Order: sequence, then C-alpha cells, then structure tokens
Amino acid sequence: MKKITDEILNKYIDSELSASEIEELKNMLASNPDALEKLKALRFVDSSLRTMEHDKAPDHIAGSIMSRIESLSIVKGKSFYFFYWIVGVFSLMILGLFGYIFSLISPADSGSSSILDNITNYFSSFSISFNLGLSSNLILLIGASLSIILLIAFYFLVASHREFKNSLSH
Amino acid sequence: MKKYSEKDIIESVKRGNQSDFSLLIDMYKHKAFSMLKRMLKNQMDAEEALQDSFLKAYENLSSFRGDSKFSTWFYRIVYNTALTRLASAKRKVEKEMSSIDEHYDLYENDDKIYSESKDAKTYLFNVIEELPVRNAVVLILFYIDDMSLNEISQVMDVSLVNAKVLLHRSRNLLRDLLLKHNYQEEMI
Repeated sequence: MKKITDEILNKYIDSELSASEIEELKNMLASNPDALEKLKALRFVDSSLRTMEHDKAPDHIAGSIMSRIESLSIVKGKSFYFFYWIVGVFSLMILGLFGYIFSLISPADSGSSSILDNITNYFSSFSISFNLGLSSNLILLIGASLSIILLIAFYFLVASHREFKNSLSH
Repeated sequence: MKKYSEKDIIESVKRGNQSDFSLLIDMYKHKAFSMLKRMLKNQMDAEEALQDSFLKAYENLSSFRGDSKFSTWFYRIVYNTALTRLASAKRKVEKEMSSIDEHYDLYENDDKIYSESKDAKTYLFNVIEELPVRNAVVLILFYIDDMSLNEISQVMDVSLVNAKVLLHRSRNLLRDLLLKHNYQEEMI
C-alpha cells in the first residue's frame, strides 16, 4: 500500500481488507490526519445510513392496486368471451357450410354396398355438387360473411397484441 | 395461524388466488415506495409508479421461475418503471445520466439543505433525497434493503464492478459534503 486512496478507505469500511492491510493502513493513518478525517467521515456516513428506515407507503395503496388488478381481470375476461364468441360463430359458419354442401350430395343413390365405393361416390358427387354450389349466390354470401368474420377476428388479434406491447412499455 | 412463505404466496397467486397478491403488496410496498420516492423525487409520481410496478409484477408473475430472489426480480421492475417515467417526463438525461460531478442541482440546493438540517445525520438524510437517481438507488438497496452488490447489479442491470464503484462514489460524495460543512465534531 503506497498511498491511502478512497478505494482503500471504502474497502476498510466494507471489511474487505486483510488483517495485514488493516495494520498497514493504521500505521499510515497515524501520520496522515487528512486521510484519518476522511475515514472518520466515511465511517459516520456508513453508520448513519445503516439507521435509515423505509418511507411509509400510503395506507390506501394496497386497496388501490387490488382494485386495479380486479378491473384488469374483468376486462381480460370480457375480451376472452368476445374472442370465444368470434371463434364459436366462425365454427358454426364452417359447419353450416359443410352441412349445406353435404345436403346437396346423395351418396345413398349409388346403390353400392362397399364402404370404399360409398366413400368414392360420396366424394365424386361432393366435387360435382361443390362446383355447382360455388356458382350459387348462397355460397358467395357465405364466403363473404366468413371473410368479414375473419377480418374482424384479425382486427381484434392485432388490437390485443398492440395492447400487450403497450403494457410492456409503460 | 399458519404463516405462509413468500414462495407459497407466489405459487398461490399463480394458481389463480388473486387476493393473495395483497400479501406480496404488504411485504414490499414500503421498500418499493422508498426507492421510488428517491428516484422520482415526488410523492404523487412515486405512488403512481408503485401501483404500476405491482400491476406489472402481477401480470408477469407467471414468467417468474424463481431463478433469482423474488425481491431482485420485483425491484428490477420497480427500477425500470421509475426509469420509464423519468424518460417520459424527459428528465432521464438530467437525473439518471448525470455523474455526481455534473449534478448541479445537488450543489445548488446544498446550502439550503445545510441550513435546514439540525445535525449531521439529518443533513445526510436530506442530501440523499437530492442525489442523482442511480446514486440514491444503490444506497437505498445496500443500506435499507440489505441487498448484496451482486443483487444490486442485477436490479440496476450493471456489472458488479460498476455497482461497487457507484456505491463508493455515493459514499465519497456524502463524506465530502460532511467535511465541507465541518461536521467533524459530530463524527467522533
């Protein structure tokens, strides 16, 4: 130890010096009143800071936070319900579409007893009926409705993503 | 009555017992508030930031896996919430980035603080209220919250060496101010 530096004094305060280093420091302090004064002041800072206490948060704070959490849960619940509603409507539309297409098909007309034949006839008639169905106004209407529902669902997906990003940044 | 550990409470909240989160609030509200008040230098801002911090902690609790202490994880949220507030108020550059030597506010107010303080200890505590954000935070975490330098470095997202340097500089600043005002007699 050539010189008493601030770092050495801080290490002494934090008990990071070895026994021999402490001895050496004490010897040097005996002939260095400025450094001794600094050490006393540093020790005073350290002991005073150890007596510091926490500031008291306002009494109402826990209640305010819990009510914010509760309202957040309600909003989240509502958005989930809406999402499920969209998904439900979309699923029903799909089922309805398939139901309509299948109603146009009459696989029993084939007269074949084999399951494989039944399936083959079923899909060949499905293909014809589907092609026929595509030209109808009803299919166009269903397609347009599905597109609108998809667009709405996409909008809410983007909106919820944006909300999530905002919650991260604030 | 059975006393639940911090880990039990966290697991309970994760399982959906929302009301148990109030136990965590009671555990940490004073500690977090102390830190926020010294960072934001304003009671109202500190209260709002405290609410935001707990809300973020609640929303992200599922991502807390227990790799570090909950206190370290939570203080990091509190610290970043305060920094975001400072940045949005365009005060970040003034308060957070300034070094001690450049912190004119403290030196400008020093005489006023000195004249209003009855003794060295009061003066010291009043000065801490005016310290730059990072210096105040390191002292609060080290002395009031008994955090290790390693934990402090995680909260503040700095290296261990930087956390140590910051602690030493903060103490040296307070020491120099005490000596400047000739408080030597009270230090014996």
